[in-house]
Amino acid sequence: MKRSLLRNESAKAGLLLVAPALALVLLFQVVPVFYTLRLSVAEGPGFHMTGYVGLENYERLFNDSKFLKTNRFPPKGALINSIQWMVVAVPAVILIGLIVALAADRARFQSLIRGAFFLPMVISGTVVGIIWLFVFAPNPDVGLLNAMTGGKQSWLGDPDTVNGALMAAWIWSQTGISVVIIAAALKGVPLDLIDAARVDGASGWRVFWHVTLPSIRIPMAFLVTTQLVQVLKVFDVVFVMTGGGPAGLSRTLALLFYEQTFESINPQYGAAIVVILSLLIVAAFAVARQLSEAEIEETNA
Amino acid sequence: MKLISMFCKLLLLVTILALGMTGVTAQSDALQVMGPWLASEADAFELVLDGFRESTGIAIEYEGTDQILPALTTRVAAGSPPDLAILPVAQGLKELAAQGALVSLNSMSDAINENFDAGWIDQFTVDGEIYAIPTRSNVQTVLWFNPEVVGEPPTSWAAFTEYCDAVAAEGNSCTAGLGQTSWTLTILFSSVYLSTNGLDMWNGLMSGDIAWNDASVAEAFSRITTFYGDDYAAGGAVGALGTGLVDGIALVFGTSPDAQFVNAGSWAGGIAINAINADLVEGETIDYIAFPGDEAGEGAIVASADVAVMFNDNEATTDLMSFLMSAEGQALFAPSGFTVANMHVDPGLYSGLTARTAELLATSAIGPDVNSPLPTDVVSALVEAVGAAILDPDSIESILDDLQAVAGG
Repeated sequence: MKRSLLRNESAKAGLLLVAPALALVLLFQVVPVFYTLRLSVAEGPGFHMTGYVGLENYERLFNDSKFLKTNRFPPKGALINSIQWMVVAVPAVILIGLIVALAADRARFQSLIRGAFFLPMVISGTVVGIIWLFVFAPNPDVGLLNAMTGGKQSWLGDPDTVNGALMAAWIWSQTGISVVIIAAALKGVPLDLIDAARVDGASGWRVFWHVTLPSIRIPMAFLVTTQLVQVLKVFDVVFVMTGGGPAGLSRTLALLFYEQTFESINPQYGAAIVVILSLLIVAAFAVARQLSEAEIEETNA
Repeated sequence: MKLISMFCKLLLLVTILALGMTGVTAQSDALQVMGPWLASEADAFELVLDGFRESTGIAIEYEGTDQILPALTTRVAAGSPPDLAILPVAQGLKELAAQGALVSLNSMSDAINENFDAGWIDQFTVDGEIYAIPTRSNVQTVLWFNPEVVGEPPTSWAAFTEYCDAVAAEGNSCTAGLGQTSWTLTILFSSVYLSTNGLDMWNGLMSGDIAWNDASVAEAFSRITTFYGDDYAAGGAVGALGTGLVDGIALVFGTSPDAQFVNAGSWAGGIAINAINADLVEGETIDYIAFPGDEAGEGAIVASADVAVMFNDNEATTDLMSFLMSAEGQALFAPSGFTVANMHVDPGLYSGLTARTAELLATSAIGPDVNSPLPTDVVSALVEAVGAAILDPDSIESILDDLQAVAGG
């Protein structure tokens, strides 16, 4: 009797203690999710919700050539651009991070090298965009890249290069975190395993492929997940460098959401875009989780 | 004991947070004014506001942001908009009026009619209600050049293409593009369409009487693809679309120029002189003309204005609005070199090219900038259509059909 009373008391105290945190989480995380869902099936001027329109905003989205343009091949639109970012920018960030981390692991000034790659991480996306505008400017008197190559290439005005140029700026700013995480993971690879493999006569490449890489798969999965989410949210670099241009060819989902919500003042439509964006993020999460869990089972077995 | 002390600390934290929140929402007595102007532009506006403060004793707090529409949208949604705001080029006016967020200025219509050309007032009237008054304003449809390089500038489209063909034949660039700053493409469209088709057609297009896939629009788009085309533009069509506002103006007015003409509003001179090349002399090494077109386009301009709108209907805000539209209030922009829409402000207050702009604004037939009559969605579709046409001039027809689908639907 006394014991359960005590447990009750401590449960109450526990609840009381987490209440402020819970209230904040509810207010700033849970409520907005439901608000956004509700907004996405509503109509009304501004942020008002004057009526329920069902999936009308979503139907409109899939007929919107800014979101997805399928009448010509290859298809274009913000959805395609965002997928392109996932497929190109994420592997690039991780691959470059892996190469630098591996190289720095054996180099003399490894903290210096890691520091140099990490430095862009502390710069805000807006500033990254402004810096890279100077790199890509077509006028060789302004643009670093054209000054170096002696050309007058319009990196941001040419539909063939604009997305690559934006991704280059992004990759530059994100590689640091991937270097740091992979470098830390490499420190955790058991040396005796590597030694054992060497004693068994494995070459450097085989050691890397069969020992090092499997040992760092879990931090790698974490990295893939966070990068996928980051890339789907990419806004600042695109907003500053091209505003989605030329002719809307570099627009991403996050930029489309911003334009619709705050420039066209159409928050209901913007909410529908964000719901689709969230679904993509959840899907990316699920895939990455699947990968890491399969790995854990494999390791356990 | 430990538990109690922890709880007390938490309580303290929550109290501090709560106090902080009420601190943020507490309203001061001063009038709240939001606008797009920052730095020196904000200082210039403070000089205007000082005129009001001195004559009435009413306090005003001005807050500048370069993302005014997102800021206003969220504050309107939160139910705490500022008393008065400035919308750059009247962007978002229609949407805010549709939300019922703005106060109608019809009770002041006598004063508004007395101060501004009818062309202005029409731009800011939604469903019979006037919602805004123009403050700082500019001529959008001009062509900038360096008289030392160009000499006597070509004033018709035929003369212009003849001139540029000769420049191109020598392997040089005739025009500088600003397309990376995407809203400049609306200025290019206004300049070309107005100069080709004249004010009546322009007003017809803006009011929806003329469709976007009309032959007149196709002709304007075709001229745009010449103006920003591979033959004329520095770096070709993609160069024109990849060069930003300041870099593009610098191509004409920088120390090592690479092009001879740049299309931008009458405001571009300030950028050229203050941010690019301090040695420029107005009328000698920097000058502008009306965008070269056909006979139909002569004597008219498309002008844009940053407009003042009211969110709260109270006496002090109404007084401020009256002051901002008065010749006395608008004249206070003149010492900072900003031209205004009030037709009773003496152009003699300005000097050099700014005086010419003031004269043009006071005497020309005025067409609306795209941002006031068109919904934001249509403006952004227009920007994209212009960009797409520059990249692919052969597809103008289908691009305009798509544009009409957005504007008509």
